[in-house]
Amino acid sequence: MTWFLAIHSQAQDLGIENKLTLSFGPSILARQDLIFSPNIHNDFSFLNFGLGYTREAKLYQTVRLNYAGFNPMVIDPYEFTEYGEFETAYPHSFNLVDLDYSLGKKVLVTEKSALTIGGMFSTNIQAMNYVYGRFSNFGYFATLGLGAFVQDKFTINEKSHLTATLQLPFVSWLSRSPYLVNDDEFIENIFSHSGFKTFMAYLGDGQLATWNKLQTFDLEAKYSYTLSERWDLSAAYAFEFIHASQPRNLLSFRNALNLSATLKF
Amino acid sequence: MRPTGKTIALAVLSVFLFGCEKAFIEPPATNPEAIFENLWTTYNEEYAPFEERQIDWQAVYTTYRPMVNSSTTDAELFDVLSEMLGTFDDGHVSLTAPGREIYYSNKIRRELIDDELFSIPVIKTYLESGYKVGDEDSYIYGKIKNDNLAYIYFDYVGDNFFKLNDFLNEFPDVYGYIIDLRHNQGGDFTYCFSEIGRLTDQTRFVFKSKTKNGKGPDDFDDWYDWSIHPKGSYVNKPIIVLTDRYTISAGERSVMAFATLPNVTTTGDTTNGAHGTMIGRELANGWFYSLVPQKVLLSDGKSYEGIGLAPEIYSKNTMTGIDAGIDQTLEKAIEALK
Repeated sequence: MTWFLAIHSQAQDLGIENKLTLSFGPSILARQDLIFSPNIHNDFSFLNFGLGYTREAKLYQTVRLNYAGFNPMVIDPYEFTEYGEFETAYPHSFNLVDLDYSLGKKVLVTEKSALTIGGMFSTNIQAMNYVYGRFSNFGYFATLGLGAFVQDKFTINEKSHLTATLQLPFVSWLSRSPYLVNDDEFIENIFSHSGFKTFMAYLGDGQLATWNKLQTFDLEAKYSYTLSERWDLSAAYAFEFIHASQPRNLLSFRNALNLSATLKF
Repeated sequence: MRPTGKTIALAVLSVFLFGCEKAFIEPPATNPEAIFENLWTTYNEEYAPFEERQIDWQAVYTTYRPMVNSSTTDAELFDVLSEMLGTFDDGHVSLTAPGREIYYSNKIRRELIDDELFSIPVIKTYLESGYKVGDEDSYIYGKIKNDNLAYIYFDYVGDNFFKLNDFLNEFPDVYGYIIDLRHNQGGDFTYCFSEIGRLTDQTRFVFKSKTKNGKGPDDFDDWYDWSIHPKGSYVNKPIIVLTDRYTISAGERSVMAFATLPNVTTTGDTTNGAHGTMIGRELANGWFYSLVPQKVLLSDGKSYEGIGLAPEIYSKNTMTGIDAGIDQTLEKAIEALK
């Protein structure tokens, strides 16, 4: 606590603001990945959590980690039998993790707004277990992207702010499951029987992708209310768009309503 | 009137929330004819071993398509699709639907032909007490009673193959080993390939495979060679690998690997003959099916898809024998190793 107060006091003296944000809220996924299915997979989930750290000084820096889990299925789970024994067909399982780092600078400050622009590095890792009744197939999608971000912060009144942020990777290292779920290279990648080595091998099989092969962006509109000198409460609408054309078409829309609490120090 | 920022924001939000569905590629419809077309087309574009299984898929369409119309019921559709998939007789092909028994294309798996000729309780009677058993009999290993021989059974190909090393360590002084891959359900053959290293003193080419990478009949990745490599202290003793009609998929690829070793003799019945990797697919009505997007050629350059791997020494248990507690194939292996 003493350490925290010391940091807080020193930061205020230097005009530096640090923020730690914890968020959660419902999200909706609509996703069609032709590697696995011609169907559109929709799901609504409360498994959507985020943790962020922002430092505002001469430069603006933020690191955000977000997890979302979805369990879509074309129809409701159902029972079937295998040699007379009852089995259940369960939904697919999608685990989506985003880790973004942004570094920028305020370029236009007026009485009512502040415009910040800069560069960003984004990591998007998606692990999917497609369940087909009696068995399942593993699928993955991962991007490591470099791009730009733009953020505009509007002051509504002394206690309320509206912040709009656009993150736009221009070039990415893109790794996806092969054309038909698995192939010899995919099988070779699991040969180590080590989760980390397999993950690195999947990443290694990726390719550099610009906007001709991968289109993705994140958009967020956040309303913040200053509760006290230390705390802000926020409600944000977040939208993620992913379209990849290779090796087969993937289109994914994710909408989320994130409620968050921010500790300022 | 100029649009305000608020109007623009609402318009953009509406597009995101309500306009997304239109951006997707139109998914297949749920009516019986569309379901049939989607399933047939997917096999046409993604199934690899048509030639090996001597299937004229276009002729199959001509036969079965007229059996489905807009008023076909779910039960009728399931029957038609099942019968159509039955033409493959492929151990990897199946159809799953709500409230129904899984349809296996392979007649042996579907009708459980000779399934009872393999009995784990009978096998256990051949082992000295203190034998090791994995969860749900994922592996069983121990010493054969009254003989200086060691036996190991693998139910599938997965992390249970890590036990191969323990098995070899535990029985270093036996005359020979029996590796039982009868009724092996398959899995991930890389576990066998990574754990077999102590049984080979040199790199040995096992098989090559190639996977579909497009919709055309000739759209495949390049051939990929799979070999086994020496790893750990070499064990050079006579080995008998047991197989039967239920040895399938990764179980068969494991048999291919063992069969490259000069000190191995395969004994039992021909394997199932379903070698390529298997993937799942789903229909618009929520039914699931599976197919094979891969061709496999053994080290002799031939495909045994739909044929199976014939043992060097043929042996098949009888029901009379099993009922009497006798595993004739296991006994033949024991006799051969004595």
